[in-house]
Amino acid sequence: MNSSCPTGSCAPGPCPPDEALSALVDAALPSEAGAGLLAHCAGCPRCTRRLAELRALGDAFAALPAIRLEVDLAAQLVDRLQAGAPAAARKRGQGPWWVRWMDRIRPPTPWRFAFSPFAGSIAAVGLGLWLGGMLMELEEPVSPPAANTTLAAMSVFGSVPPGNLCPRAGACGASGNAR
Amino acid sequence: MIGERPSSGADAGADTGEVRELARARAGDVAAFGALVRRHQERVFRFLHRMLDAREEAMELTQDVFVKAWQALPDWRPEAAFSTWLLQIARNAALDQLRRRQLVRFAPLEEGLEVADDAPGPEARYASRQRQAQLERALQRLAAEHREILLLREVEGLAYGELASVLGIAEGTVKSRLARARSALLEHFDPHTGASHE
Repeated sequence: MNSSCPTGSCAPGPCPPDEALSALVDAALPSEAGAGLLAHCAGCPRCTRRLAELRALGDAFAALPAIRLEVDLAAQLVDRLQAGAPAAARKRGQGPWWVRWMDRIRPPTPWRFAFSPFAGSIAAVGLGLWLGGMLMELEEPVSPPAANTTLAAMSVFGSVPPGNLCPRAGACGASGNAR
Repeated sequence: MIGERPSSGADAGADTGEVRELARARAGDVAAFGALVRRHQERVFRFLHRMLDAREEAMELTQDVFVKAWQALPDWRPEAAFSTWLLQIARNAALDQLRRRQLVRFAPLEEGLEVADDAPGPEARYASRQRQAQLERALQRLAAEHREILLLREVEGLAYGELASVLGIAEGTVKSRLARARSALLEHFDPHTGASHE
């Protein structure tokens, strides 16, 4: 609607943009601007037609049939909210900073707690401590070996396998037999 | 202000009953919140119904809007009108739903409506119904951002400031977007006859 009006039928000034006419319909223009627009439209058939269209659009909306919900959602919602959100939970986020902080780390119900990240963290730390404790119990204290202790296991490294006859005297231990 | 259609800011101010219910609801009173739902459910539903053009879907979404409102109620500040705040939640929910449907159109469609039956009906009532149906169909052809601003202004009667708040845009943008939306609708719909221009 930026084009000029036809010569001869125009009111003073150029035709206003649609934005101005739209605002005029909504009574959203300052008084002076609105009066100026109305004066223009009075002498401009094009703008008069456009203004009439915009007004008729408003009338068409007003004539739309009413849409009714026909259900009391409130009753359903109240039941739903009472079941799912106890009053205590509603107060989350309110109160002094330490209360809000505690709210953040304290899930509202045990069931939700079971699935919360806190539960996972606590379980992981607890499991780690328990396994660590078990390892500590398994480790026996190490005592220094006695000087005359014979390490039987070392015999496997001997030249004669255990149970074999000694090939010559003195090749085996004091007993003369391979162990 | 000059204009023939007075601004009908339906949300000009909550009555004292609503203020009390809001205070109690914010303190965790579910029954008080139920009273608020009763006050606003029709409006929220009407807006969602016209945005989505689906009754059942709009009904479910209306419930979701109020559940979200309940959850976010501690964050609500009295500076914002409660019904405007609700419409903001409803608007976001509607856009999400339309995105899920992949029906959101961010630019007006080029194609027009089918040509309306220009022959006058046997009764004026019939013609009026035709016009209403044509307008509703034309609305569904608009981009979502045009449809929502038209519904909020023309049906819900929100003032420019409230529109700016609900849509999250400046008041100057409200003015231009509203003009573009009306212009787009007039391309598809003749408000005098209800006929399509194509």
